[in-house]
Formats: sequence, C-alpha cells, structure tokens
Amino acid sequence: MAEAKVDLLPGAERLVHVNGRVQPGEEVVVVTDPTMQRYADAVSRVAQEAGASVTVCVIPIRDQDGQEPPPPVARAMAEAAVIFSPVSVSITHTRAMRSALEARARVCMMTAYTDAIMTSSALLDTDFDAQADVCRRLGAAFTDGESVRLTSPRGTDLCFGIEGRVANVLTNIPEPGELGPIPDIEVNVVPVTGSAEGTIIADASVPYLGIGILDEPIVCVVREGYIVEMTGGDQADFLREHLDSFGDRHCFNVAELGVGLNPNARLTGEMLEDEGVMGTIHIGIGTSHTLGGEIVAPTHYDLIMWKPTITVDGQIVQRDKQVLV
Amino acid sequence: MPIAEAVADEAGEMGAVVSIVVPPERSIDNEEPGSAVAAAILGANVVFLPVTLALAHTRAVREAIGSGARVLSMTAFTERMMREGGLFTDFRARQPLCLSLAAMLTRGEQLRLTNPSGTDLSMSLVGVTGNSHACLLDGPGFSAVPNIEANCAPTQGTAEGVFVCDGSIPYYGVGPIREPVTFQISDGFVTDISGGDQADFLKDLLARQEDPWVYNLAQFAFGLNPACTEFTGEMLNDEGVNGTVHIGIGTSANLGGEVTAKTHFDAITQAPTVWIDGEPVLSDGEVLNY
Repeated sequence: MAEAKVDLLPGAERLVHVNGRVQPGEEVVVVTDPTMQRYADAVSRVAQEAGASVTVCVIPIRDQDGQEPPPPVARAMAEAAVIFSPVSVSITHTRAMRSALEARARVCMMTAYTDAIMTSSALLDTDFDAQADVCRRLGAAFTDGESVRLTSPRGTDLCFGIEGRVANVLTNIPEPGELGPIPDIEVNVVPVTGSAEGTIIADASVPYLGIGILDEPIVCVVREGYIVEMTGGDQADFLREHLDSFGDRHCFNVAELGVGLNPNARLTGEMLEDEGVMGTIHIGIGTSHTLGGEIVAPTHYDLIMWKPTITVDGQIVQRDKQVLV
Repeated sequence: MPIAEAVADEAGEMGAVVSIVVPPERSIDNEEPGSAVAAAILGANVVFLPVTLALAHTRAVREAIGSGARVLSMTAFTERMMREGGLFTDFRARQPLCLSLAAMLTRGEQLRLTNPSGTDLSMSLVGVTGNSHACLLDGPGFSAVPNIEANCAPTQGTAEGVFVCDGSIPYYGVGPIREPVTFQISDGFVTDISGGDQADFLKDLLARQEDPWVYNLAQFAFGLNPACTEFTGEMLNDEGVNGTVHIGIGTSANLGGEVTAKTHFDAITQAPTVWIDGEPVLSDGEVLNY
C-alpha cells in the first residue's frame, strides 16, 4: 500500500517562523542528507517565502554521530544566521557546529526527523515562547545550585552534586549562538562526576537500541556516580548486557539529569519527542563530555521516568509537570 | 537536480567527498549567490555548477579560483547535453588551437571583427591577457563545458562600432535569433539595441537593472567546439559552436577586466572574419592560421 501523503507544510512553518524566527534577508543554511531531503525542501520553501536567502547543503550520510560535515558545508554553516539540520546522523557535536555557534548562528536541530515528528502536537501546538521562560528559570536554578535530590512515586531516590556546573538550557527558540533540538524542550545538567548516590527507577522509556517504551521498570543502584546494579525485566537485561559488552565502566556513569518541558510531547519511543515530554526527566548514562562533563564513554543513553520531584539545595523546583521556580 | 546528482554520484564513486549545495533563488544570470554558497565553494578543490542561472561571472567564483579551486561551469545544462553533442568531443585535441588563439589575443594590440549581417566592430587589446578555456582543468581555474573558447576582456572603454548578432543570445530565455539584434557600441559601451521582439526584450531587461555597467563591452571570444554544430538555445552549446564568435556584455572581472556589473550575457554571431593587428585570423568562420 502506498504511504499516505503527509502535509509537511504546517510543521515547516512552525520551524521557520516560531523556532527559527527567520527574518527577511537573513542567510539561512539547511544541512541535510539524501534520506531527509523532503524535510529540507519543506523548510527551505517556507524560509524562502519569508524572504530569507536560503542555501541547502546535501552532505553524504555520516558513518557515525559527531562526524564532521565536509569543509565546504562547514564554511557555509559559519555564514548562517539560522541553521536547520534535518540529517539522519547527528552533526550536533562537531567542530563545524561549534564554529557556526561561535559565529552566532541560531540552530534548529532536526536530527533523525520523521513524518510523525513533523506532524506532532509537540511541534504544531506548543507555546514555545512560554516554555522558553520556564526553561531559563529552571536552568538558572541548576546553575546556581549545589546539590540535587530526585525522587519519584515509583521509588527513585537519587542525590548528586551540581556545584560548578552550568545547566544546558535547550529552549526551542534559540538565541544567536544557541541550539535547540526541536521539539525537545529540555534543561539538563551534569552531576559532579562520582557524586551520585541512590536508586534510579526508570518507568517510561529508553528511546535507543529499539528498546522504546518500558514494559517493566528498570531499577538501577548507584554508588559513587556509577550504576552498580541494573535489574528489571527483559529490557533491563538487554540494556545491561549491551553496556557490559563494551567492557568500559564509564558506560555506567551517571552523566545527566535532563528535564522534559514540552507539554504537548508524548511518549512514542522516539528520541527527540520522548526526551521533551513534560512531567518526565531522564537520566543520561555514559558520556558526559558533550554536555560539559569530564567522562568520555563509547555510549550515551537516556533512561526516562515519570512524575519526578526535583529538589535543589532543599527547595522543590519541580513536582511532576509543575516548575516551581 | 538530476544532473547535479549524476555528477555527485560519479565523483562520490571515485572516492571524493561530495557536498551538493543548492543556492538561494536568484533573479538574473551572474547575480551573487549569497555568502553561504561563496564560503562553501571557497572550501572546495573542485566545483561543478549545474545551475539554471549562471554563476561563472560572480565574485564568489572568482575568489574560489583565487584560493585554488578548479571550477567547471555547467549553466543551464540539459539532459540532451549529458547524452550527446559538445561534451563528447576530444577536448585535448582542441587545446592547442585554443591556447594559440588566446596567445594571439595576448600579443595583439588591435582587433577588428566583421560578418555578413553587418557587424563591424573594433577594439584595443593593449594590456589584455587572453584566456584559453578548453574545458580541461589541469590546475586551479575556470572552464565552462562543453564550450571550448578562447577569450579576453578588451581594453576597457575602447570598443567601437556595430555588432549584429545573428546566432543566439542563450540568456534570459532569448535563445536562437529570429531577427538580427544590432548593438551600437561606442567608447566600450552598448549605446543602443535594435531589431525585433528579442532586441526589445533585451533592451527592457537591461534598462530595468538600473546599473550603467550592464552595458559594458566585457568580452570577445572564439567558439571552438566542433561537436557543437547548431544553435539550440542551450547556453554552453551555443557559445561553443565552432566557427562563431561572441561578445560578452556586463561583468568583465572574471576574464581579467575591471568591471563588476549586475549581470553578464553573451551574444553570438556567425561567419565572422577577424583581424588581429591587420592579420586575418578567421575568415567567414574558418580559422586561417595559428
């Protein structure tokens, strides 16, 4: 059966006008690869209509996340006022992206986009302006704070230090020099390496490795910053065995507390949408280097849980879906 | 994009790292493509330009060549041109003739051009360097496939006389000429354009650019591809038709001249006779000696 034709225009209009805030005469660069060109076409058409000067760069499909785009594309990106990146393999953590951000580009990340994301309520219906404020307030609480306690009704109870850490504030309306993964509105912070102690009980999703939505919670015991025990059902066993296979304890490093802040995002098992679900947090495990930490591991996965209560220096900053700062 | 993709696939198979860059929409041939495209081609070793509107005579391309790029222009390429015609000629065999005519333009001081339709145009070649564009990029430089041409930017402000175009103006949708287009040229600038509908269209288009430099006599060129045999309206076929000459009007900076205008176009005429310093070089389109 032929795939139903999906209207990509409303999503492209949101990305260009709301997230990218593209202005007439601005230099817009769309970086894409051959599998994602339909999203690139939709965004570039709308940006063109907005009066921008739009250049589309089609790069070869990268072999792995974080591989540099070719030099001509890196140079084009450094000229951009706004970048959209519908690519199948992430170019977020590249020198090319850093240079573009240093040149004050506003970057709307569209890694591994799908028709489902392009037509999601998370993209089409969210008040991104309002959530940008929430995002910045919560980010400030983390940046100014020294210690975090995270609890959930399922039994998560994890403590860690954040002194000296600067929160990554991923509003979906990036300012010059910022990037936003659309529609994953998120604030994250890297625990002081080695400081995490307690229990993580993930009951929502692990949007990697084909695991997706969890049938049975994954229970992790954390000592001195590392997961020392991981139990639950088949999904827990699968994940633990996968991580064990690298023979690198840093795969078990507690690397990130990420807070989803998109009220319209739904848990689907897809990364860009799941991590933004309001009323969830995720604990990233493995590499923390790309977020501002010290640990480099061969992997980074997120364990997502429902109904968090987050306390910073004894003050509750978020309870379930409510941000209290 | 099928032509860009075909070239990209072939280059990719050879092991090159290929990026396809689609420039912003532009309104006229040889308008600058924007800073992102300019930066991208500055980072390339080899640049192919299968674009609808020419990029050949832009600052962006000039700077890329300056930084060592080999640039192959493929403006307004068609699927026919990918299958047959000028692209399948023996470029290497034509290179000596092309180099030789370019050297004559460099050495000469005065050029006169006539043809049966009434062309009689003279220009100075003092201080001029001829360019050989034989479609072979052995080093940094520019060529437009399959248009084998030897050309130069005549001494600024010296062209004088009449150029009657009876071949093709493969720009702006004009194409093969139905009624000859007469250019009056004085002190190096076009002062009047007359003829039929095509002349009127061109005259209006240039007037709308509101840029006096779009009338600059920028280029003189010999077309030298024996496999380009008739005018089809395809730019790089028509400019290369063997035994024709063309003048370029507008920007001359990419040919060694000083002028940057809002556009650049070529007008091709047939059966030319050309003298350099009084010596006949071409007679009724036939190369006499080189």
